[in-house]
Amino acid sequence: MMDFQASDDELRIQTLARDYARSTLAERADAHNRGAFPTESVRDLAGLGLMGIKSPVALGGLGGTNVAYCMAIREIAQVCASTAVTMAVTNMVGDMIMKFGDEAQQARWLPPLLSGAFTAGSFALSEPGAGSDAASLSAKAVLSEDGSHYVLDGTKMWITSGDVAGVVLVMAKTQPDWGAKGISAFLVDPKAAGFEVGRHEQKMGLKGSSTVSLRFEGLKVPVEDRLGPEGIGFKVAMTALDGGRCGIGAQALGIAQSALDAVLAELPARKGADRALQTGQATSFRVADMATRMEAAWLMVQRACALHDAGVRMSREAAMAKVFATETAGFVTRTCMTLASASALQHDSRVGRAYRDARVARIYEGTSEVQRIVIARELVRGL
Amino acid sequence: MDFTLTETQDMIRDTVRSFVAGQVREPALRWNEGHGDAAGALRALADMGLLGVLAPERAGGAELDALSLAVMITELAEGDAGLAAMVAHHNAQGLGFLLRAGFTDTKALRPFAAGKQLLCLAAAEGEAHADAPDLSTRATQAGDTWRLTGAKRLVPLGNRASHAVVVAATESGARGFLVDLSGEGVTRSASAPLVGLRSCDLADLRFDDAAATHDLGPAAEALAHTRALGRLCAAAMANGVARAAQAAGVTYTLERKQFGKPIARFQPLQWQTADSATELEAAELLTWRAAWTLAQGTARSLDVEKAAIFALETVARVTDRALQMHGGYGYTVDFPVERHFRDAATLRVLADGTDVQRVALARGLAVQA
Repeated sequence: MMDFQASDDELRIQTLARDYARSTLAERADAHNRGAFPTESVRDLAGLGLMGIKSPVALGGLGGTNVAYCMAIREIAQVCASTAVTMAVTNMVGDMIMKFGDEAQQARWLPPLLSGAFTAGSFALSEPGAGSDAASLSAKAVLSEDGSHYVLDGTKMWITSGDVAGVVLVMAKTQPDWGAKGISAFLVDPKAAGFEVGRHEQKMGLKGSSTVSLRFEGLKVPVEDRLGPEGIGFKVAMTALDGGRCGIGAQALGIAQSALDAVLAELPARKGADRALQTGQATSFRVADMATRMEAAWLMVQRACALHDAGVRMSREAAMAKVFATETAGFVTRTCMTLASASALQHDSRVGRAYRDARVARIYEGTSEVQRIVIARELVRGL
Repeated sequence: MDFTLTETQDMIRDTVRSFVAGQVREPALRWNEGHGDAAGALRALADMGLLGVLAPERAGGAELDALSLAVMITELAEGDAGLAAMVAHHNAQGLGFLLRAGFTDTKALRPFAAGKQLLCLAAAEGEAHADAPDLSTRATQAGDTWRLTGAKRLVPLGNRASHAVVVAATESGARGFLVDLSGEGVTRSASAPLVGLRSCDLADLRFDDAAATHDLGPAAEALAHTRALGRLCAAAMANGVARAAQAAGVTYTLERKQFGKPIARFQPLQWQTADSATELEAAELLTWRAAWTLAQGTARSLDVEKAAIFALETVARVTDRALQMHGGYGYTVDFPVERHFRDAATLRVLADGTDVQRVALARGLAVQA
């Protein structure tokens, strides 16, 4: 039976995130977005269980649903998108360890990841030459002759929290000629010899999140740190991204909400010729369009999450939710830049920050173009 | 009908284009990151005679028309929107007001027309229009001298200009005044940085009983003129920024390979390139037509509003598409497209926003109907 009501548990997790976001995080958001990594805030989130929203309570998580996860991400992103993306990637890594890891791996990696002993978790798929064409990656892991470890070599790019993570989930080729089927997944300890953090990217927005390149040179990964059997790395990545896409949609809508709220808050105080705009129908219609599209996008995100929670395959729905929600966020933040007062166009104002932060949502975890490829393939066989 | 530029306009375009290629494009990356500024470029443009474009020759100006100005501003904006904004402001707002207000003191005009001194127009007060009844800057006459009190925000060139044309309310309506910005009672401070136009000098000005050096008379007509020029220049800048972003996008998609071929060979990207090129062409034609109409000196037309609305929205779409073509690289400061994307959304502070212009356009059309 159809039910649009969130469960008590889901509402509890949303409230947990909202209360934290609107108190402590709100006070720090400006500092975070001037380029300081939100170390304390992500530790606070771990303390609240929000680094493992779907992970079991026994391991330090909240045992929540995907719906709850997206509700929490949206609340955090509405106040600080940089903190939200750090949180999202950490959750994603934990989820993959839960889904594909054995008991020993779960017991070893999840408690420190979820408790905040690790600052963050990190996910390393993209490479300088392998972005949208993820299967073409060239990092490789070669099994040692005695079969005790792999030797990892390669370069990864756009790695969120790659310099602060306690564990990095790395995709690398174990069979270089097998394409996507030749990729395996590894849990890499950044303290291992041969793990090198490269440049820190200077981004237009998400100034508080850390984005680095990583270099692996003869890095030894014990064979027991391979996640699942050889050859399932691409499946791990795609599974992670299916869930991740909903999270990015939720994040984008949180950012859009912050821009819209800022514009609505200043409308009554507008003066001069702008007064005509404030009271004019053209402005009300724009506001109505923004709110309507956001509502539709949020339903798409929640539907994909609900399917995920029901254990149903939801690649198409997740891709639709991501492209629709992130393009909506682009529309909303751009419209807010035209509606806001001139003095609200400051680099670090809520609207200015939202405009810069929202833009990457259409690029990372699969560009809008990749989402459309996924959607079209699911709709038309043979594409 | 003839869509070609005159020899002079061609020459200006080529001169500015090579100046931008040699002295703007590279350093602009640093100017926008807060390292160094465009002062040297402004001096070079003064030496080229491009800071008195509309001023009469007898005052040392180039005495060119609005189309020449638009062509030049587009070229500059292709290199750096902030620099283009400052040049446009001095030419079309500061000097534009003085000239339209009938200021005939050639000796006083000369340093501005030669670009030895910069001139800004302090009219808008953040949100309010300069001719709005609630202009808060006020001028009162004490003997022969007018004294001004009030504040102006986000004034282009406000920190560098030697003088400002200040629009203030008086008992008989809004008037313009020439004010020496190094004089007593004037304080200026850099405005908080905006999302884009980071290389443009923007200042908040305060006047506390500051004396005007000249009374420029009732402001309404000169303001209407500078507003039209401002909208024209905003459109011209938008086209320059869009052109830069489009070129960057095309170059990148030809170089970047995914799935074994340059991404320029994927149809969706081809469509984006085609749409951007078409829209950009339309925006430029609207802008040139608006400049041509202004140059004809015919009665106030609505061409500048049409041009500015279309160009400001085109630049938003074109820069957005170009950034998307770059993927993650486009989100970093290593590629200029992220700056174009920020500039595109910030250009409206130099003229009125598109919504204000739509209202003006609709009212104008109603009058014409």
